[in-house]
Amino acid sequence: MDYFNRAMEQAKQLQQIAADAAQKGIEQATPLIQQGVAKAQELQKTIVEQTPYLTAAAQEQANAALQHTSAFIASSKTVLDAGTQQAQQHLTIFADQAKKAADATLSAVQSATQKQTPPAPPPPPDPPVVS
Amino acid sequence: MNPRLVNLLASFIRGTSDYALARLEFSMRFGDRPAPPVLDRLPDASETALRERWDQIEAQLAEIAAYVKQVESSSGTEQRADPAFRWLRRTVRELDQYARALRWVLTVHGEDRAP
Repeated sequence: MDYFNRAMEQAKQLQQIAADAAQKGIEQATPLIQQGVAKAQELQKTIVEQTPYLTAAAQEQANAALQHTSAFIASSKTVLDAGTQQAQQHLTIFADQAKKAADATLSAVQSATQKQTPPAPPPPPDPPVVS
Repeated sequence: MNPRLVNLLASFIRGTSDYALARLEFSMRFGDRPAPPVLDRLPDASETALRERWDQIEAQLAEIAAYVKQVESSSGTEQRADPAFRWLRRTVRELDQYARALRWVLTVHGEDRAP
């Protein structure tokens, strides 16, 4: 599977897992949160592997996606550390971070796969001056 | 807060997650097209979320509806019948219905969203 499809598939799974987790109570959500963290790490690995081959603009998008994925992982730790009463509130942030990570991955992938416009040909030389 | 509004907002938030997935699926299927516009996720089904974020959400939804119309008018039958596009269109219709219902409740019950 190429970079585009692998990253998109992982982003989609991450988004799905987080959305499912947000619908559940903390006890039922815990395995999904752990699954989400594993998926986020996979996604980070996919992005990092591809980063050296990207243009500067695409690297910037890839870095943004990595940051959102890290924020997602951090939010999952907050959910797991929170007490039962606060967990639901943190699950909302967790789901939001997953969405941001998925959206940023899509932007990064699109930037990486954008067709490069060939540079414009140089202008023709000035005709010789006839005196 | 009006319980009907809370229910509608909760449904809208679930719909936002569905749209995010449909958006990714559509982008995977049609990589050569620009991605459908982003729709922010409301943080929760609360009055604060409604007051602070709803106008922006409605504006984003309008952009998304325009995008779907544009794809419909510029694509062949095969693309319009593609499951990824149909899923995208279905989620947008559902979101639009929730948004209209929300607007209706806000109007009829005169909920004041001013800060």
